[in-house]
Amino acid sequence: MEIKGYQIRGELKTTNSGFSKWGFADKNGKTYFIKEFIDPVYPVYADVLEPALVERKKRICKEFEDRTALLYREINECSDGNLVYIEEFFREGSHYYLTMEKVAAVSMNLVKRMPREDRIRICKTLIHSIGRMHQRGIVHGDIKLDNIMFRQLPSGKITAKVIDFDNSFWESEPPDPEEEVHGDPVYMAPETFRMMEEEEGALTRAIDVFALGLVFHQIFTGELPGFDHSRYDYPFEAVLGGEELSYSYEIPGEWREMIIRMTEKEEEKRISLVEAEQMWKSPGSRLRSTTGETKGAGSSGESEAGTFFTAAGDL
Amino acid sequence: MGNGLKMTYNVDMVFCIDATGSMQPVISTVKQNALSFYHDVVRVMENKQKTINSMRVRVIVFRDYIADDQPMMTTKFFELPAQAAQFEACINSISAMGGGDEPEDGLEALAYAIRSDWTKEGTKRRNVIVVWTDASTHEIGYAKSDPKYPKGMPESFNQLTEWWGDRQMEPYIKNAAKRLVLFAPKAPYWEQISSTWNNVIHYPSTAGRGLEEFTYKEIVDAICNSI
Repeated sequence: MEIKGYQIRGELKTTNSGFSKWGFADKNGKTYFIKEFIDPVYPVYADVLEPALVERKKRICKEFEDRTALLYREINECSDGNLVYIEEFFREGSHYYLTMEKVAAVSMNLVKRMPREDRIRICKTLIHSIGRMHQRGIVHGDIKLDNIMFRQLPSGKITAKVIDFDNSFWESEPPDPEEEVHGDPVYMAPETFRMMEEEEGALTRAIDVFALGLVFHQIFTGELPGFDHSRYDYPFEAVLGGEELSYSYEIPGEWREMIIRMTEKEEEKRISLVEAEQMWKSPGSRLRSTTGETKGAGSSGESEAGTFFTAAGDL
Repeated sequence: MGNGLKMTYNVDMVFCIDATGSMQPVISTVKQNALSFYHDVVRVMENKQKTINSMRVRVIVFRDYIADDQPMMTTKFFELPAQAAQFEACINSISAMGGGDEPEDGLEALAYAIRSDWTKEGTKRRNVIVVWTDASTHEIGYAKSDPKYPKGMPESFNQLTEWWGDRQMEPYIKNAAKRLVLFAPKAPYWEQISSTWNNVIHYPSTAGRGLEEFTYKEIVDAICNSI
């Protein structure tokens, strides 16, 4: 199969995907990751729809296309090389596609075995790269370990690239509070949940900081910060419930302190990535907690069809 | 709305199963897949450290209004796992038979599915429709003259498309929540649906042949990763 000059290897699949189809493709001797979006869909079979509906769907597509193309262009522009490069965004037939450079990722197990200094270097890289998006006014919106690709450089060092900008948005145009916010609940910031519950508020770059704090904890320890799993399913629930997350002492002191400040309940108390970067650029500077607080830690079945089914009547 | 400080994930699934004679070779696989869904979805979700608070499943069996005595059978939602035994017995009661000509009345089944009594509870919701068929569909309203044909069906494919909705209009099903997984041939009107409706994943099958070529893992992934 070929899509706009990309020779698709095999078929696009949904495996491990957030309900898009993806795969790998070759073009001009290079291999790319390719993703097919499922929303919106351009009305190719216009003859089966009335003109007014076709026009509405085309308007939805145009709005999506313009916004997404601009967003991806800006992400490419602000990348320091550690935001995965978006090669092309285009429509072919009824669907939109995204192609990105293929990243030869290494396993998280390799990362776990890395010396502490290398893990610190990876965390600094992520702060810098996502910080550049923030300086541009763009929120990633779906920071999680699965969206960090670890790759080995020719020198043998491992570095990280940030992928998947499907949920990214300009901070000046945050998601509608009445709409469902996409993104992984495991990494969800407390204010995201509050907004979804109260249907008001505006998400900011601070949601990335909260999620990145959790990712850092995983990079240093392989685990999320601890919390009472008998009472809460996700870290943000524990934080909102007034429980202090439990941060491992395996983590180097200043980084542990930083993770604590990255995962503050109130977004205004959370450290920004600019401040975080200042931490190691100003030798001798120490993180100060803005709060001054120290955190430590059936019935039987029947088989007759008529028992369950009823002849479908009028709608 | 959710439950205080707890996020609630509520999943409603509607299985639309073509139970015409041509499905005979694969109906047992389809039934087995339908029965395995709950446990496999929960298991995959747990591996992702996510929790489903409520899962309900509804079944719609469709055939052909003109050719069959029982062209369209629907159930209420079964709450899983509490009503797992009833759900299993329900699935096991389905037999592949009838169907008449090759196109079936799959669009009417989809209309019933879209108009399901979807849950309004939960911080996050997923309303997933899964269609298993090996046949194309008649035009909607093809069997309108048949006395068994129900009132209230969409007048046209255009109107059915409006029922499915989009980012601007969501008359019966929330745009962010809805997903349609089609295991259907590249044939009318399944192909038109996958080329004009949003949030659809279409796994094409060959008309008259089974659906066994699709990997079950991919089906579960398609659903779990959207949650």
